[in-house]
Amino acid sequence: MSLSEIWRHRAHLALPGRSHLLLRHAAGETSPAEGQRVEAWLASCGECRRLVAASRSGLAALRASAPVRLTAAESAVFWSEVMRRLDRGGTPAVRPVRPGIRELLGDHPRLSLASAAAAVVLALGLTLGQFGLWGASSGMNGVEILSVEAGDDASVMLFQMPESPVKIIWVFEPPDPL
Amino acid sequence: MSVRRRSVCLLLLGSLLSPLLPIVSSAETPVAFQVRVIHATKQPKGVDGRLAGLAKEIQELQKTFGYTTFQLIEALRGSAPLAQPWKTAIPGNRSLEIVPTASEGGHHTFAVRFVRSNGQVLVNSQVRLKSGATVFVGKVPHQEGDIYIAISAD
Repeated sequence: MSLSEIWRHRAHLALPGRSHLLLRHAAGETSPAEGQRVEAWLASCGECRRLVAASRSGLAALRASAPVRLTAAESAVFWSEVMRRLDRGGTPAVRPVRPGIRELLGDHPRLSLASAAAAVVLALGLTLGQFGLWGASSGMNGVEILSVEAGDDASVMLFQMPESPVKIIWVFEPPDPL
Repeated sequence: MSVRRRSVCLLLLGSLLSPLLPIVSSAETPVAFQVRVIHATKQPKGVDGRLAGLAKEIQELQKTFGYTTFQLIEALRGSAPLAQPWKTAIPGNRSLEIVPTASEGGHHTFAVRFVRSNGQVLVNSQVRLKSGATVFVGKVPHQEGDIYIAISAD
């Protein structure tokens, strides 16, 4: 590949929103119209093809790999070890808690799965549906959430307080099977 | 060709080829990241001093959810080449899997998977982080509090 081709491909990829759309395409989340647009880019842009191929292989590796499991010996000591660490760190440097939004919002009860699902619909509608907004806000703290795929029984909400830099991929889990 | 002329030619060739280096090496070079497992509760203890690097984020979590105590349970440094998974077990019998999928110009893209002990996938996500930026995955209920996982690109 010649240098001019490399620069052309990089400039191609640097266009606003392009890498976003390419990654969504790799995750199979583009509409048919968007997909056609991306395929046209891929035909003429080697850097775009490389990005999509890397993203696809990463997702495939995640989907295909066996989950990490604790051995019986690790399971037996896991919680006691967590407790030990929590107890050991019983005198951390104390910082006063500042009052603020907590007082305004109050302590809301933990969301049930049903309400969580409703929240997911709302949150995904507001966020994933407007990927541009997430991308545009990434300058604030350098975090872009490109795609989110919830498991069969889980629900996921993308959470960000207004004017806050913190982004949370909030997972609402079904209760542990007995 | 004199030694001097040869050196100049090599320098010129090197400067011409230097833009290629990130492309050639990017697939091989491991992408480094940090995973911090944080236990947040409403007990009156305070903030673990080891979380000073996340002060702004911790303050937001305090304000929003009313947590008063943040304890760092685990701090892991991971690194993996592109398309290679990195895995760790985390409290609550969950596991976290991270695959760097792209790295360029100080921005790193990761595929992140959060899995239950029975293999059930809770979430599959792709995040793009600027070096030093942090995204949170949460929250696993644990002992009158919640576990949050902070993933930061190095």
